[in-house]
Amino acid sequence: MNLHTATVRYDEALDLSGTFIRRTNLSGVNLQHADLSGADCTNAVFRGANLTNANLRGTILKGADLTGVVGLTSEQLAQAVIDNSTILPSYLVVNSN
Amino acid sequence: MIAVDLFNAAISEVIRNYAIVVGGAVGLYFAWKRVTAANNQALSQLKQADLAQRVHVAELFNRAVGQLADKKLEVRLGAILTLEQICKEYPDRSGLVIRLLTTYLQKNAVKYGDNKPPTDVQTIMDILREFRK
Repeated sequence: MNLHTATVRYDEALDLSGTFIRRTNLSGVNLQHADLSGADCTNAVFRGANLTNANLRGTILKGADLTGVVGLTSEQLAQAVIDNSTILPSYLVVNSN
Repeated sequence: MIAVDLFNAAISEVIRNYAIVVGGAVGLYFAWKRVTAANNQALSQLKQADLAQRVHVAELFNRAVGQLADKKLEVRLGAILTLEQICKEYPDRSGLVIRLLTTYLQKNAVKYGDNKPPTDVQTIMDILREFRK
């Protein structure tokens, strides 16, 4: 990576695909369009983060705290791996059937 | 004779006035040249300072890239903190720094189980929280 020639937008979507970020704190982070596919976010805290259009395919969100996240849809959640300990935002209800 | 003298006097007056105008114009021209030269010099100094700053940041960045591959956690942490400082002082570089740090997370992922994240991972998350709100 060359600093002289590289031009990266401030708001470029984050690529956290495949990362191991258990128990980390991503509260308030702008994760719009971020790639979190395959990331292990077990017990991570996402309070108030913006997950609009984030790629959550295969993202492990067991025990993750998603309180107050913005832009999360049931379609995104269906692609992620969650369990009973995942704390969902109030606007999303998981169908237990 | 009087008429000729008056005519000559009028001509002299006109020539003198023209000379004053031309002299003034020449003076203004040289003054403008001096100001332009001074402005160009100031601009050149600014460009040199900017270039020196860019070189300095590039050196810091490149050194940090090398240190991120170090085996010792403290060396890697030092690199991450240097990168954080770059984000603070040069916000236009923050996108690049964050891309580097997320790549670091992808390539150097240590699977620490259910333990607390190591300091380098936590510090990167601190940076994300601060610069990617």
